[in-house]
Amino acid sequence: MGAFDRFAKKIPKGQMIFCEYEPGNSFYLIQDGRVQITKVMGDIEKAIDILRPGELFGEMAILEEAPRSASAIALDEVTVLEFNRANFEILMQGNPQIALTLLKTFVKRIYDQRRRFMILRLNDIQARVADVFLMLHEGMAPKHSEQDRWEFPVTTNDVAHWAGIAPDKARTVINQFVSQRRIELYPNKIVVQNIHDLQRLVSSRRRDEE
Amino acid sequence: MPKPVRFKTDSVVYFQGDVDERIYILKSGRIVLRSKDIETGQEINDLIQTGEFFGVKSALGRFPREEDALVLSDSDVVQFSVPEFEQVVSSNTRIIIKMLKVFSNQLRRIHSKVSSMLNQHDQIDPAEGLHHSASFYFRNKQFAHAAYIWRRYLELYPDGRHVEDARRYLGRAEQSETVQAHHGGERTTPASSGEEPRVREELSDAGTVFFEAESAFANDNFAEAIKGFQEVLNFPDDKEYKFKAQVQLGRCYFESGDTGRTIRHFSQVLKEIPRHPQMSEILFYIGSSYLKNGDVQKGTTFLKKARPGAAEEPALRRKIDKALSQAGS
Repeated sequence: MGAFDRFAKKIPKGQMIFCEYEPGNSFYLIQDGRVQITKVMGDIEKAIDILRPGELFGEMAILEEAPRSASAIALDEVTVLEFNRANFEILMQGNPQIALTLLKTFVKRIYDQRRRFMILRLNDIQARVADVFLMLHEGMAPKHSEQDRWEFPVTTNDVAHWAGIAPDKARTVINQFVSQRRIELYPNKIVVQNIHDLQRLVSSRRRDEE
Repeated sequence: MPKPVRFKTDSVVYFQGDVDERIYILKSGRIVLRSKDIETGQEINDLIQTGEFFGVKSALGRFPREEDALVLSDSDVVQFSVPEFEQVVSSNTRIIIKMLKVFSNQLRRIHSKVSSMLNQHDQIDPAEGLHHSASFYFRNKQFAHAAYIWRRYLELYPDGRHVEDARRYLGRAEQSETVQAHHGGERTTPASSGEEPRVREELSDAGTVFFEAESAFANDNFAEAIKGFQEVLNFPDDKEYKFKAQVQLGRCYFESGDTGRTIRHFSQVLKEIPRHPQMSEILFYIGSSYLKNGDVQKGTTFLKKARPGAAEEPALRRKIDKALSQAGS
């Protein structure tokens, strides 16, 4: 890693590395310390992830100078390697491990974005909300799990965000599901009574729309 | 060990939806990847080139296969596990870079599709988003974050709708940030995951009241702020907060439009502490109050007195210069 020392940057504990909505032109590989990824949603700050050494963040900057989709804050004193579009190929050539990490990160992002696209493509709002739970379930469930009841640590606003609909619309659909006893709503979690029931609902609506 | 495998014509290497973690490279023959376009539903057939890897994305990501891999004519492939694949490509970064280019194009395409669909819904304008985030952190006394974001706002949107607010609050955030730094480091309040405990900062009672008052000031609740800053002045042995509260109290009077009271308050402060650490700022507010009252001569005199002491404080210096130029000096 010595050859990359000139790209290394130390960030004091607690400092913001970048903020949601600012244009991104660098991405980072953590060498030491932890980085918290957060979003301000209304009046709360929501932690999305805590990243550790060896993990990348801000990588969408390689693609385009789009606004950052979340903020990154140093949880400890953090050392990162800072890359940009101009230097990343040269850096990758010299370091297959970084290149592989980036490759895996891209694979995951492509999958996540495709999955999100599948949700957004549904016209039926009920099906969209149900599909958000299926997506969350896919991220949590061991393969071939037969379990019906699943708890998701999300709020109505999170569901609205994933479904790409206004929070009040999401609330209406969730209340419908609650009255149909399909789900239970708690302050910090939503419980789906039978995930297979939602799977059936989504696939039948998806078939109808196709 | 990578394993050579032969597939007969019309056989299947894997089906869409299969979960397995094998990666293949085509040595000879013809294999096609058949999938449906997620947007149009149209069938897509991608013929694998000899020497090309396939099955990489689903294996590396441990996702179900996204396509069928169908054998069009007798084919020889080499089958890798994920660790074997990683070992092979690590010795040839060129292959990874090629894949990175393919994947980054795919990512760009799907990302722009998702973004354009979201645009119809709840996309927030980035300038508004920055302003909202900065205000959030300020209200929650995470002044370093607030200051960072307002600085970025001013760089990115020098003519933006919130420039005045950003300048005003940046000054306050920087000042409060310095106080926090003197108080044993940055105040970090990790987000609401519950995973990380809050970093506790031992504020003196004066400090606690001061920050409560700052928060009220940030929300333009001047009556509450004035009450808080006056309370700080009653703490006997806390000079640091006392000096700051004196200045903030005067700013409350100024911001709420009471220029007479601003002048009286700051004159009293200077009488009491002739070498006040925030002298320039005090002179600035006295000068600005006189200007607001229409007394240009007194106003400019005080502003000119304020200027030399503000050499180290570019934000204050800019404010003084602006006020002087508006007064015609």
